[in-house]
Amino acid sequence: MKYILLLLTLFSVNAYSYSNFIGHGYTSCLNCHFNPFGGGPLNDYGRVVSATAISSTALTPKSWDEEKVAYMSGFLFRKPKQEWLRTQVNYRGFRVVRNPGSSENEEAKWINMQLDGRVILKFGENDKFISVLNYGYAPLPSETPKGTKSSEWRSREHYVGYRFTPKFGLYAGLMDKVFGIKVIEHIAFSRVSPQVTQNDQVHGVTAHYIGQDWELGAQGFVGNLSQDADLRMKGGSVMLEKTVFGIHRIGASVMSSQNEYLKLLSYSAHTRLNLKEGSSILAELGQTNKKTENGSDDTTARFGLLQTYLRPWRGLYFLANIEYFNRDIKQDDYTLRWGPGVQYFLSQRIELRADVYDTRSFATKSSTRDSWMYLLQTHLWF
Amino acid sequence: MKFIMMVILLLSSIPSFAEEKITLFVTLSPAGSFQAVSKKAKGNVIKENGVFTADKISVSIESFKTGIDLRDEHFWKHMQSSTNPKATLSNLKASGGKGTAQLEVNGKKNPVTIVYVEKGSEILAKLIVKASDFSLPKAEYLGVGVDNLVAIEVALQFKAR
Repeated sequence: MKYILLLLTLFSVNAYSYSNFIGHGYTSCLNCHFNPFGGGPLNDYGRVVSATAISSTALTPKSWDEEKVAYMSGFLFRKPKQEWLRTQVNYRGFRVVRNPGSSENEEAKWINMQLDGRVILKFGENDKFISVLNYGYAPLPSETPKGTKSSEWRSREHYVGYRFTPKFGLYAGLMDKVFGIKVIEHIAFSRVSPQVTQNDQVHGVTAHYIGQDWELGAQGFVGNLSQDADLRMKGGSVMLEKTVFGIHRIGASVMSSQNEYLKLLSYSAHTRLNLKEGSSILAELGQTNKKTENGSDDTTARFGLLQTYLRPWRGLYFLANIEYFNRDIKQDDYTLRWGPGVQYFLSQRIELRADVYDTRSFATKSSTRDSWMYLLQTHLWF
Repeated sequence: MKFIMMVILLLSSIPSFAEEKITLFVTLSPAGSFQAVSKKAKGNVIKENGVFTADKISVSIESFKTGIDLRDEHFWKHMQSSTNPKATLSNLKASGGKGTAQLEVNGKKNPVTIVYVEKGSEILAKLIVKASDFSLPKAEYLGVGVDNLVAIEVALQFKAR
């Protein structure tokens, strides 16, 4: 079961966001993303930040100053000539190797995980009205039965948004659920357990409010309308974050959703700590109660996440990742996943990343070998 | 054991020199913040009979670093460093945790009040200013703006007389 869960989550894409960039002083996603809760297309400011703060200058001609680097951060390698249209293309692929070094069980493959085309229409001062379409390729999980209707090409997100004031905005359409820290690890227990990972976007309405020291998101959703009606998870979520000591964030989320077979209640507390100079710590602890309508299951799972990002110099981030998962808190068995990683933004449009994961199960009545895996990831965006 | 004791003794005898620096706490809108830090303040703070004084403490605008090179350049340009390359705090007089001084930024001089704490041989002063009081225009870049209120922290060594 553990491996099925792992495989299901590996063969998918998500709307990536980089919550660790609080280490650069950005407490909110709104500065850099059209979606105030992060992920999806970057706005113009976000593209410039990615070029001038996040990425290394290894491939930058020496004759370019930072203004030139910022100018070249646009889609067509220049500042857009009009204000109302933005386009982006995004690709991710990785080589995943499971059980590396094992003569019997080593398994390696390259997976094209994401190829998105994004179109953003925006009007008004400070992008008051936006319309976002994110359409692309995402491979189906390998266990998907043959003959399944699902297409590998689909809308990742499509929504419209209107900011009534700079502090308050409403968004409607297909979006990620508002819950917890959107870490980039799509296999994170903190994303899988509450069902807020790569393929869990929902149609709904999202309200976003940002105050001086706090930020609130509330979302009502009716499930993903491309799914069969009985499978659609309907419900709502609320997330509140508060800025503490000027540069850090603490937050809490709660989400309730259900379809004809399943009822989920998730809640978590999280923090994002700014260690300055681009370094940060992310932590989340939460639970998900899962009830089946036929009464066959009523369990509460607990998940934890601790990530550190250390930035020795521009473009490079060293990661350490520790995750905890207990499928049923009435039982003592639990799983730990941990490992180091390195993320290198070679230039604005090229991210290279390597992660090692060791998954260890602690069970009272059985013992299993550690499961090792490494990923070499390439992310290109234009 | 003797060696360990010597190491502990040596380590404990190293004086803890505080770093002299000026930090500007800048709030962004819609959200976020950055700090502009300079470690190149020039001037002397004197403590005499419990009163801190300084004739002139100056700092080069272009010595401030914000963590992003492009933002450094924008910051210096916004502060008009080419025509007014220095910010100056003058006529500082402080006692009992409070004080007054004149702050000159962008060629405009305004009276400011400070609060401070004394830590060993260091004085840590704090003040809040309005950028508009120094004829600095509203700052915005690609939709991300800067708050008019800026908190300033000054950490300097003082000489006691």
